[in-house]
Amino acid sequence: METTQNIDRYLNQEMSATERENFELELNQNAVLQRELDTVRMIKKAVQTTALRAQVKQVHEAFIKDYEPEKVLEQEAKIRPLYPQRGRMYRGISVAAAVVAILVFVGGYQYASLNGETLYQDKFLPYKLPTMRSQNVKESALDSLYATGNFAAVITQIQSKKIKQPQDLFLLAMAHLNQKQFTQALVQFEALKTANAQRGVKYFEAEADYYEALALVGEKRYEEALDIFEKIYDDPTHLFHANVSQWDLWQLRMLSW
Amino acid sequence: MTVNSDYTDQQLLADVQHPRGVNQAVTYLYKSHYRLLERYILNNSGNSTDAQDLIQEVMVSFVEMVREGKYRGEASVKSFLYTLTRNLWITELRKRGAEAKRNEIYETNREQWDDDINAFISYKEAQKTITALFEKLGEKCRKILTLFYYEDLSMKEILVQTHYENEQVLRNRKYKCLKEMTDLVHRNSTTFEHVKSALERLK
Repeated sequence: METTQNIDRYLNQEMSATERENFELELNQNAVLQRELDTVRMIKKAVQTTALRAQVKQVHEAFIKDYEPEKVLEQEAKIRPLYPQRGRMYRGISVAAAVVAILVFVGGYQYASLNGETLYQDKFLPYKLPTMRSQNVKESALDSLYATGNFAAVITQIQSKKIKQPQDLFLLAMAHLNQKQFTQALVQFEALKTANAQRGVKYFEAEADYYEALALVGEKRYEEALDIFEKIYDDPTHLFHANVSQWDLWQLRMLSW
Repeated sequence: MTVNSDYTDQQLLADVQHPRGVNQAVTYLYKSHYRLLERYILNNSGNSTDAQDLIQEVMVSFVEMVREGKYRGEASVKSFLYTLTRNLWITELRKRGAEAKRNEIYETNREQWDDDINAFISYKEAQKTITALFEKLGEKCRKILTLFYYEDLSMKEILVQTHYENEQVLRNRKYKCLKEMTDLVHRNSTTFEHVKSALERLK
């Protein structure tokens, strides 16, 4: 009991300087005491976790009570007066005219330099497989090939499979996309959608949306790519929502013309 | 359900440091990000109950990682929560033996903070044995240790809530509770080693 008391006093900084010094000296020489100290530290953390978990549970229960799973979040519309005050309006018009002139100039430059290849490069995110370094999860041969960027081998290996699972189709599409074989990638994304529909699952649904749109950009099918990007942009819960901006939509609209 | 848009990440990170700020911060996180995190679980072989259980763990882990300086603002809170959810869910699927399902989850960007998160998840897994032992302690002991180690209350404040005769009696009671708990841990020798090695990986 005395040891526990001393450890607790040490951790709570309740010891005098001399007591502390003596305690630390003993710690260095006494493995059993060190183990006791480590144990009390672990207990302290476990107590904190348990209490925190109870606190989070309360918040969770309060939240879930009012949670409506199907309802889409709506942005509150801000109501602005139709006509601003007269003096401010004139100043506003002159500022707006200057802004429009700048936008026309910048927009003209952007339009002249706009092309699908640049957009594709900007939006392409390397797609990696999950690795669990802290746990000994064995990586499959296919995972290794994909992870090392051997996309040609990934394609060969998956194509040789008689039955392709959704993850095979997704990897196959991604391997083609990495090789800039856009037509083949689109075929596999389509096959993935069909396989998902047949199984009643949604594997890689969000990923397929985003990368299919990129494959369409690669194919210069900008209008179709725009449809998908607009869907992602309009859905705040979409996995790739943060990856699609108004600017991307504008570029695709320009390219569609 | 409205989300307070004036609540900044900075304010949120300050609030989670103290038990009194946790409710507001976690409520905000739920309102802002629950739907996104839930969608991830639902799209990866989970159901809404899985999502509810897992997201609670995500919130607990997030608060602890912030408190221990493991979240250093290298990503937005949203991205960090998303990565935490994904890695916790992969761990859960693995525990369930659903290797095939785990392999169906791929990631767009393996972030630099993934290793920190995975080390933290391993520690949390190991820690579960100690939290289970804590649940075995008597209610009075759990209350005293919680008020002292989590709420950070003084003996005087705890005395008001526990009705012991005086501070010394309460202090002795606290030591007894702690001793009881250390004995429980030592009786489970593998628990200590398991947690210790997980903690070392976390450093």
